[in-house]
Amino acid sequence: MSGLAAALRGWLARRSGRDLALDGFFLALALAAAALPLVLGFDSKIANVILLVGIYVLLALGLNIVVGYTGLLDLGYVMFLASGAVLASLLMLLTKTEAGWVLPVGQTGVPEGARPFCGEGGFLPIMLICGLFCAGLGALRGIPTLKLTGDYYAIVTLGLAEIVFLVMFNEEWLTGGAFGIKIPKGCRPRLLGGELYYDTPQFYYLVLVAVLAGAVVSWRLQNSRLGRAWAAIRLDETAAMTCGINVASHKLIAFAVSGFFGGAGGALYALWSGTVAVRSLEVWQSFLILCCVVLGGMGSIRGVVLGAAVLISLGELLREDFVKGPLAGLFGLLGIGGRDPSVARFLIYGVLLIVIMRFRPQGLLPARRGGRPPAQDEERAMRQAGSELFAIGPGPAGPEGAASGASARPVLSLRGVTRDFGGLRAVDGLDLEVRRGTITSLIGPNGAGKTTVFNLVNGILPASAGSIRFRPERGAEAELAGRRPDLIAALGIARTFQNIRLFPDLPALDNVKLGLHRRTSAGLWAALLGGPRAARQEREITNAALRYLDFVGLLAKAQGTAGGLAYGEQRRLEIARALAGDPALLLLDEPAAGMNPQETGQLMELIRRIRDRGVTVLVIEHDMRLVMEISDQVYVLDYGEKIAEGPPAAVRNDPAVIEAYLGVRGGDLGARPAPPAGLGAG
Amino acid sequence: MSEFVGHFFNALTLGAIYALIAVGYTMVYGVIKLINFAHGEIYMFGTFLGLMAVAGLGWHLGFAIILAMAGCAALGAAIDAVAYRPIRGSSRLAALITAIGVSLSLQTVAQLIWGANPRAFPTEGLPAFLLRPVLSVAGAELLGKELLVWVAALLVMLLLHLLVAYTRIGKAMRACAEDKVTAALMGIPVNRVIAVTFMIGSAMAAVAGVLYSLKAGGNISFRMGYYPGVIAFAAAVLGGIGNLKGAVLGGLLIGFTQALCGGYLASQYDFAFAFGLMIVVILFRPWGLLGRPESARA
Repeated sequence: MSGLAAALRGWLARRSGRDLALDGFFLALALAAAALPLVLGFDSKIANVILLVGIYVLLALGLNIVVGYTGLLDLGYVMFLASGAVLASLLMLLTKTEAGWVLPVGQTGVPEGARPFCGEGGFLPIMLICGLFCAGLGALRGIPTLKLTGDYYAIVTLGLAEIVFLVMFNEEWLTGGAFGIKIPKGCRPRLLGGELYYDTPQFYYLVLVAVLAGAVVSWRLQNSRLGRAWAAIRLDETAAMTCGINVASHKLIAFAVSGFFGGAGGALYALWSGTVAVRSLEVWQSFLILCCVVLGGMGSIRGVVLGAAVLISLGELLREDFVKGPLAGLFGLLGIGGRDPSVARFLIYGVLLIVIMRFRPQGLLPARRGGRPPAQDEERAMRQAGSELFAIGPGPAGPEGAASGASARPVLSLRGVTRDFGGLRAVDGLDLEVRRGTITSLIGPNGAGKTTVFNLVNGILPASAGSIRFRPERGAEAELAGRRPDLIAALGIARTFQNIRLFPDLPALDNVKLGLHRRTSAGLWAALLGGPRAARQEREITNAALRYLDFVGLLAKAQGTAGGLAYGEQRRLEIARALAGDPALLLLDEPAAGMNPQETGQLMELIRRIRDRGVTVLVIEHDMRLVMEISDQVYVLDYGEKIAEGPPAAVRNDPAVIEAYLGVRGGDLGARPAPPAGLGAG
Repeated sequence: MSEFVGHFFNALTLGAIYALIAVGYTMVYGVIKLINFAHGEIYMFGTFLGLMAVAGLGWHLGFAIILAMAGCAALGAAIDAVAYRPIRGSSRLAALITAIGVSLSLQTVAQLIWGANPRAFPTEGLPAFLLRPVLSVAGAELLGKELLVWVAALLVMLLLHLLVAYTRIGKAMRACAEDKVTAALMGIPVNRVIAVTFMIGSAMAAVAGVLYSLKAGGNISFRMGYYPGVIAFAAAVLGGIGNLKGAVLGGLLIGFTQALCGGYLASQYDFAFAFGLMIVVILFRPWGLLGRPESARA
């Protein structure tokens, strides 16, 4: 009991005054929604509007999973609502007669003596079936669209929704066409002794409970390992893959969960409306739901609730006589008397979308990104507990360890690796070996193809030819060419990027947690059901992430966003994120770029510490002091070809290297043609 | 045979209309990488303006088309200035959501101004040759208004090509499409060029709207722009978005798909075929028929 009280106190201490005010506001809103119909009656207009708001909150929470969490603009969400509503009404109509099961679509009542399929079974199985059906639909739709981003994803989802709509509209035997499917009173499922009808308390509280469940599920997802991965995908898909996140499967889970919300919401919508007419499930419903999400704030649960509440009640308000009257008068003054004033709500939706995007793109109640940071005492307790997840390399290399040994087998070997960009050969038949436990440098003039080598090794780019073999100490030898980046990360190769690719909106801590992603496993069920194991894993993740931050000297900055860190700190944070994947091989792309000499000195010390724990390091760098001081082996690239290799001292005096950097030896320095342009990175 | 020729004529007309709309899409996309969702609504507004001029003011069709073009050009520039320019630096998600907002707003405004009931061009007051058959092939007749669609589309495309390829503003447009920052550094007034792009694209949508409604003979309503708008976007993608010739090719191909599949397979699904084609193209050849795939970058 005292533990609970302490937890509550801790929770209160972490919430700001604004947070608490909002909590109070939403609590009051929920209580009002629960209590109002008791006073006004369940058949009152207010109760009916609250019901509709509730259904749209649920739908908007579902759309928010794809739009807000994974950052993909789904314009075809209405297809889940429509499919769920039609399927639910069909399931409710399904009745058993003496002749067998029948589906009386388009008939006014249930056949005499027939027994509805769901009569006693209740509505929950129907909701579940509709949700699962649409989850499947969402995943199915997701498979071909996985690679699409931005505009193309939006337009394909829109096109698919239009096709679904046209099918539903034209196949009257299934959906009743323009007339829709009427759900007769006798067919309505029962719950707790009452029929589910738009004005029964049973239905009313069913919707409220569903909304509450939807909000809780959204919240749990957002703050789970899964939600963190979604955020990573939204912010930078390539960096997410480099962390070992399987982008495809994570997106599919989001699509399926979103579809589930849509299908279950559709089932409730069917009951609420009583007649499921396809005409009322056109694509503007997608836009309306999107509008709810955007107004409230993409990714913000409280925002989505508020957005749906405001927009839906506004739309209903415009149907009321006391608003319609003055509005009609106004229309008369404008010379458009006789128009239906309630259509003005679409103008409001449209203008709101424009205004919000212009003045407050984060919405009314912006989402707070990133998980809850641990409190100080929690953090201290965690750090005393030790962590199995915190591991850097296999440990210090032995006396005959690889740092000196030429005998050690190479951890990475490239043979004849080639990469063409159109007509340009960025990497040309490169042979390269990285010995275990060493620091190996890859140098060369700008445009020499160095970063391309990294991109080939970590799988962002496919090689045009050649083989890349990786031999970690633990695990079997593997060919990297042709593998996906997240699988390569899982084998034990981590990297940083020349132009720093952190997840800038997330706290530094969460960036490192994402580096731990592939070494942990909590998935959808853990996020939904929680339980002590999932909670323990999340604590372990936090603990280990703090230790990695400590290792690179950023412990004090754990709570701030990555984007708010100084440049050198961002570089170190990226290294921490890479180390969190417990790699056998670490690829650093110009880690010292933009650093002052003092920072570079600290960086060199850090790289040595990493190497000393047994992690092999391959580094691209222009800072010759760093290269010469820390490297065991240096490779020099020019025009995609290797022109020299050897220990730093030998490479420094190699005539070919001097020529590549300074031009023809003893000749005209300007004679060397400019490096090939358009490569993007060196 | 007569049936096929009939479908063929229909396909060509539809294709010409889609091409006209798609050109506007592709020009705007080429320059600011925005799917101007409201383009279909501009097409709708153009139609209403033409209708007002012919039916309300009793103007000659030719002048009505010019009025529609001018009105839509102004509308296009206004939309750009009010909605799109302020968020030029934002994410593409923000731009697309804004475009949806513009589309929704314009539709509702049209519904408030002109009501919800579909209208049609009056038959009297139009040049007489429009309703007369001008060509008869294997029993299928081509009416003057269909021929007008073809000729007008051809003429407008030709003018547009000359404009983009040989004039100063055309060169500026191409420069902005390639790289806006560099174009601005070269002293090109980028915002003005974008506004002009919107104006030209919108004017072409107006032509398409008036001509199509003449041909179809009705269904002028606030909703009329939505499907053609999306389909024309599909046409632009099919041809290779940003590519003018591609937009024409894509428009014709989609017109043929819709008219022939609709004509022979299931007429109530004609739009579904067009959407289907769009999805297949985006999934398997997102750079389109005449476009080039963006080179892989890390």
